[in-house]
Amino acid sequence: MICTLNKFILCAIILSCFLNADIGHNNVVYEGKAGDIPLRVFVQLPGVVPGLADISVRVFADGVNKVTVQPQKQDKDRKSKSPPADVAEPVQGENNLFSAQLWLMDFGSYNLDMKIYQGQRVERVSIPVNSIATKVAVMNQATSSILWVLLGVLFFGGINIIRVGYKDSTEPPGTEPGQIKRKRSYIVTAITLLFFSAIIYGGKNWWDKIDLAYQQNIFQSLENKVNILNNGQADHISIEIVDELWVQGRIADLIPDHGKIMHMYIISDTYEQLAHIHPTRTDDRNVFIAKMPPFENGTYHLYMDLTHETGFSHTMTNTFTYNTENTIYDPTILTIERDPDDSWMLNTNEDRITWKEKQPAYNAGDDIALQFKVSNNGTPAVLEPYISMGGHAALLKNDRSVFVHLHPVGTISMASQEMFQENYTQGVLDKEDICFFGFADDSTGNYFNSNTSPNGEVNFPAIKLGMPGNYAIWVQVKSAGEVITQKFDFEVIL
Amino acid sequence: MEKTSSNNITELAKSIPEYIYLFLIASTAVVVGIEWDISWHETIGRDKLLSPPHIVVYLGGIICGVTCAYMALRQTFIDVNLYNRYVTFWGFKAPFACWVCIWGTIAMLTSAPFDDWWHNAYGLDVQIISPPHLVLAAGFFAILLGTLLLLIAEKNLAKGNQKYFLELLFMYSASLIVVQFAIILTEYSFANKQHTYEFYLISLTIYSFLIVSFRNAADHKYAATIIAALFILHRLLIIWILPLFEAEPLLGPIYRDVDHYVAPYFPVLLVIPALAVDLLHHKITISNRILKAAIIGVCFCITFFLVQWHFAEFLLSENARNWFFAADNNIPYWVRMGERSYEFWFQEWTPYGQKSELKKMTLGNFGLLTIFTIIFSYLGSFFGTWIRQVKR
Repeated sequence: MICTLNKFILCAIILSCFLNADIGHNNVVYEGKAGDIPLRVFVQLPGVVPGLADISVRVFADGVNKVTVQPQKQDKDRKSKSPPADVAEPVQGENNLFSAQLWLMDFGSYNLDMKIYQGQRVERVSIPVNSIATKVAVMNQATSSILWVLLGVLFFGGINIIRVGYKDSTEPPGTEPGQIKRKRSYIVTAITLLFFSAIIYGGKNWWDKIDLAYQQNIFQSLENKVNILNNGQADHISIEIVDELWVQGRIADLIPDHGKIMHMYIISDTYEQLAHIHPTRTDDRNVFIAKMPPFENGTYHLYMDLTHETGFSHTMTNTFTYNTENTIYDPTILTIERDPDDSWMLNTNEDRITWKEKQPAYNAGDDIALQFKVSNNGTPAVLEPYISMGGHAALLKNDRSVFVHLHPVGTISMASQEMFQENYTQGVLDKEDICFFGFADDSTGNYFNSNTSPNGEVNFPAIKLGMPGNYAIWVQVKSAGEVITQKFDFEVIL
Repeated sequence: MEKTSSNNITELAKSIPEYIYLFLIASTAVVVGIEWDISWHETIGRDKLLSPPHIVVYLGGIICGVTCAYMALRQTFIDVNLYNRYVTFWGFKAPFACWVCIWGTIAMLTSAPFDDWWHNAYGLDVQIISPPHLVLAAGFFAILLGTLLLLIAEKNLAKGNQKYFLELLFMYSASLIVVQFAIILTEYSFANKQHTYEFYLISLTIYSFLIVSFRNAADHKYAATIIAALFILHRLLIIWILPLFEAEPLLGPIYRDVDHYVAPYFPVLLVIPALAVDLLHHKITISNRILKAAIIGVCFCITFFLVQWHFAEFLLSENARNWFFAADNNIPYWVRMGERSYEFWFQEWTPYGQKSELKKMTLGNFGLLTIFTIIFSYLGSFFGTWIRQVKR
C-alpha cells in the first residue's frame, strides 16, 4: 500500500525522458542459450511502474526441472540488492514451458537473471529489460459501470445518512422530530449535497492532476537536434542530444552495441527509402555525425538505438527535411569515413528475399512468424553475419506509433546482455550462445556459432502486435559481401 | 475486594449486547490489519489478495457488514421491535450506526475494483494518499465512526455502572479513529518533515477536530487525555510487537537491509494538547462556543507545536535509534539510507518524479495555523455535541 520517499526520486530524474528500446511495443523476445541449453524467453512488460511482467521460458532440452528468475535493478550510481529469485512454474499441458510473474518495482534498467536447473547443472542467462511507463490505461465499460453504480449508492446513501443522522438519530426512541427539525433537515440535505458534490469535483481534479503527472512521466524521446552539414565535399547528418538531463550528465553514458555507439535507421516519409547507418561520436559527447546516404530530397524519420552504461536501451526519434540545396556549410568538419556496415535501400524493387508463409493480414495479438529465405539467381544465397547478426529487421507502423528493431536473437540489446552476463561469466558473451540466423530449437545447431547460413535462411522470433493498422518490415541480410535490404508490407487487423 | 471488582466488570461486560463486541472486534481488526499491511509493504513488499494482513482487514469489514445487514434485515422483516432505537433508511429499519457501517462496507467494496484498475493504470500503490485508498479510508472511517455512534447511543440509554463501562469502550473506539487518521497522515508525519508548515497544518487541523469532538462527546473528566493515551499506547504496541517477527523483502531493488518487520513512525505526542483541552473544557465556563473554541484552539496549537517541534529533534537524534522509539527501524527496504536520513526535509518528490518545496515555519505561518486550529476546534465542538446526543 505504501511506496513513497526517495524510491522514485533519482530514477525518475535519470530516466524520465527515455523511450523503450522499441516504440509502442511492450514485449521482449530472446532466442539463445543458457549455457548449452537452447531456450526462448518472452517477456510481456506491464507498461506501468511498479508493474507485473509476464515471463514465459521455453527450453528446448529435456530434464530441466526448475527455472528461476531474479529481477536485478541496474543503477547508474547506486548499489542495491535483489529479492530472492522467483520460481517459474511449469505450464500444465505443455512440455518444457515455464512461466512466472515478476514485479518490476522501479523505473530503469533491469537484468532478469535466469537460472535453468537441469539435474545437477545450473545454467544462467541474462535478459535485459526496461521498466518504464509507456501506456495510459482506459477504464473498460464493465469496471466503469460498476464504479458508477457504487458511487451513486455511496453518494446518495451518504447524503441520506447525514439527513437521517440530523433528523432522527438524536431523538429519544419512540418520538418523532419536530416540525422545525424536519424543515431544517432539508437544508442539511442541500448542504450535504453541495459538500459531497464538492468532494467529487475535488476528487476528479485530483485524479486529473495525478493522471497528468503520470503522463508526463511516460517515456519520451531524448530531445535532440538534427542538422545537415556540408563541408564542401559531402553532406553529413549531425545529431546533437540537447536533452537537459543528458547535457547535465545525469544520465549514464553510452556503450557500444554490436561495436557501434549508435544504430540509426533513416526512413523516408514514403517508406520507399531506408538507410541503416552508424554515426560516430565527435569530441563533443553530445554530437554524433555520419555521412548522408545518397537520398533524394524529402522528409525523413530517424530511429536511433542507444544503450547506456546501466544497460538501459532505448530508441531516440526525430524527423527532418533533407534538401541538398539547403545545408549548413561547415568547413571545420573533417570528412567522416563511412562506416563499412552502413547500408541503404533506394527506390529499387529488390526481390531476392522471400517471407515464408507470409499472410496479407494478421490478427492483433497473434504470433507473426518471421522466417525468410534468400536466393541468388534462383539458388539459396549463402548468408554471412551482418553487424554481428545473421539479419536485421526494422518494423514500422504506417503512423509511426510502433517501431521495432529485431534480430534472430530477439529484441534485446546485446550490449546490455553482454554487460550483465559479464558479471557472472567473467567474459564477454560466448558466440556459441548467440542465435545468429534462426531458432534456438534448431536440431542441427546450424544457427549457433555459425559464420554462414548455407541454405539462405534467416529467422527472427515471432512477434505479437496489438495495434491494428498497416505495417512495413525491412529485412536486411548480407551475402557475398553485399547487404540486401527488402521491404514487406502487411496488415494487422482486430 | 479485587474479586468483587473483577466480578462486577465481568457482569458489566456481560450485560451489554454481544453485537457491540462484534463491532469493536471489527474496528480493531480493520485498524490493526491496515497497520500490519503497511508494515508488510515496507518489509516484504509483495502481497496478494489473501495476504494475512488483507485477511484481517477483510474479516473486520465482513464482521461489521454482516452484523449490520443481519440487524437491519431482522428488524425490518422479522421483528420490528427488536431494537427500540432505530431509524428508517430507504424503508429499512436499524440503529443509525448500522447505516453508517453499511456505508463503510460498501465504500470498502467500491475501493477494490477501483484500486485494482488504479494499479493497472498508474502502477502498484505508489503512495498511501491516492483516490482509491481514500475511498477505502472513508470506508474504514465509517466503520469506526459507526462503532463509536453505536456505543454512544447505548451509553445514552444505559444507566449506572453500565454507562461508565460503555464510556470506557467509547474512549477505546475513539482512540481507534485517531489511530486511523495517524495512519492516513503517515506520509506527512515522518520526523524529517516535522519542522514544516505542511506537517503542522494537516496535523493540527485533523487532530484538533478529533480531540475536541471526542472531548465534547464524552463524559469522563479526562476523556481527551485518555483517548490520546490509548492512541499512543496502541501505536507503541505496534511499534514494539511487529519488529519481533522475522521477515525479508520479496521485491527489489532493496536499498536497506531488513530482516524483521518495519515499525510505523513514532506517534505524535497528542496526550499533552489533549490534556490541555480536557483542563480548559472544564475550566472555561463561558457559553460562547466561538470564544471557547478560540481559547482551546490556541492552546492546542501552542502545546502541539512546542512539544512536537522539540520531540522531532529528539526523534532524529541517535538517542531515538532503539527498540523503544524505533527511529532506525521505521524506514522501508526501498529507501536508501544516507546522510539526509536523519535530517529535516524541506522538499519532497512525488511518486512520478516531480519535486515540490515544503514550507518552513515562520511567525506568519504560525498565525495561520492558529486560525485553522480554532476553526477546526469549533467544527469539532459541533460534531462532538451531535455525537453526544445520538440516541438511536
